[in-house]
Amino acid sequence: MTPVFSHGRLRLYLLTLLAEGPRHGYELIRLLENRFLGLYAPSAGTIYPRLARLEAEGLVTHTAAGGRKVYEITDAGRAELTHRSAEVSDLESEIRASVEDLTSLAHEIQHEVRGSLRDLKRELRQAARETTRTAWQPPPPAPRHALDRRITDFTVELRRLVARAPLTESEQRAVSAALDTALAAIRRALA
Amino acid sequence: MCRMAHWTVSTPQRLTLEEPVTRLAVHLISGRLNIVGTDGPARVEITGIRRNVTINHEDGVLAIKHDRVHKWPRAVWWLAHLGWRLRVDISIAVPRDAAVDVRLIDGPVVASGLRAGLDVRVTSGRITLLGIDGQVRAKLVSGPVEAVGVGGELTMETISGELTLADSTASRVNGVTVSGSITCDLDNPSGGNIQLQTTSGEITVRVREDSDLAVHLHTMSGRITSAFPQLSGGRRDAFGVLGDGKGKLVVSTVSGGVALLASPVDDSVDDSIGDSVDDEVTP
Repeated sequence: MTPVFSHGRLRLYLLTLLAEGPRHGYELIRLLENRFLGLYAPSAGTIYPRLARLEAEGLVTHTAAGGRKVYEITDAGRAELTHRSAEVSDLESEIRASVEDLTSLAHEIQHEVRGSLRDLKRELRQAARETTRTAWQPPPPAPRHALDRRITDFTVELRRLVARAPLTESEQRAVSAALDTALAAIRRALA
Repeated sequence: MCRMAHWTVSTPQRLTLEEPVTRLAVHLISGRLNIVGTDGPARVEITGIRRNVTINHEDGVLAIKHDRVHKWPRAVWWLAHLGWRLRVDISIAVPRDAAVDVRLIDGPVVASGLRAGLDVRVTSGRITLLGIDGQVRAKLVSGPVEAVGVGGELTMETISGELTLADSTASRVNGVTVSGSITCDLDNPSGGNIQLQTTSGEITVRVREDSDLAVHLHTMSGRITSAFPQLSGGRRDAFGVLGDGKGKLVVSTVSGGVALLASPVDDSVDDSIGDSVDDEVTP
């Protein structure tokens, strides 16, 4: 297929979609996917930076609704669309042309699906391996007293904090030092 | 008013239907079938054909069938014709809002860009779905289901074959296979209802870390891995409630591991992206 979304055109198309009504990021991804018969499914990592850039330029705004950002086109955004209406209609006719030949389109679809499923499986295998390392294990018998429970909670909370994001080296050192301090204090208390 | 059009096709060709199509029904013995939802008029593209196919278009219903000359039971008839003699390669474009119904004995089916429901039954082959919404049912005896970007309510069934669902917002997912693994990646903020079952195979499920699900994972002889520390249980079963537990996730395998993974909520991507904003993007 032709590079329908060459330099800057995805931004333009995002504006076109937002001109139809406010959307959150995930909806925009689904809409793009639909327009392209699922052939082109941009990732969140492609969409969000572009939305952020559009917002910085004053062409869209966002409001937070239910934990998600809902994007809306501004008057400046509409003006930009009007200004570039020739480009928009070019883009739309190219999109139509790219879905003209059904048989090769179907091959593309199959190819695309197989590719993204292969990637997904690889990603999930990796994630499962990493989860196993910090795994939830069949828990020990019910805690005998409050302190046991406290220790379990502590471990769970700690794992959750550590698992949240890749830690920088200094963060790792800080966590490790804090653990050493706590352990030393406990040893002293029980000695 | 009764609008009717009829074709008997015996050579490769392309048809464009001027009248609207609200429903598509395809019953074929053997072949490759592609169905694509589009904005334009309905089209039928036949590239390879060994035996006549009849196409009927009446009152918005587009029906495509293999000619059957005998009244023999289908399987006997199929054997007598050795399958390949009936092979037809068809690609069909219909409006996105058309309801689609497919029966195919042997061969792959690719469907994409439909939003008013889809029912595909294949005896032996492969079902590939991309960008489908509504009530979706994909059923085989032998062969895998591969689905990306499915919303609505999805049922996937096979006896022997793998089930894979990626990048989907479906509110209800029902996946059953006897022999084959199941992989399911869902991004549904409200949790939904997910039931996955295999006899022999692994099950891997990824849900949003902020999911609201009551979870039950079960395996007879595999191991359980969970990215959610809230779960508790024994070696064979793990239970737990994520969020407010509105939705339901029930996963069960006899032989094979179960992994429940967590995906970060999409807006968190905002902060972690660098400067690759205006790269070329090729669909």
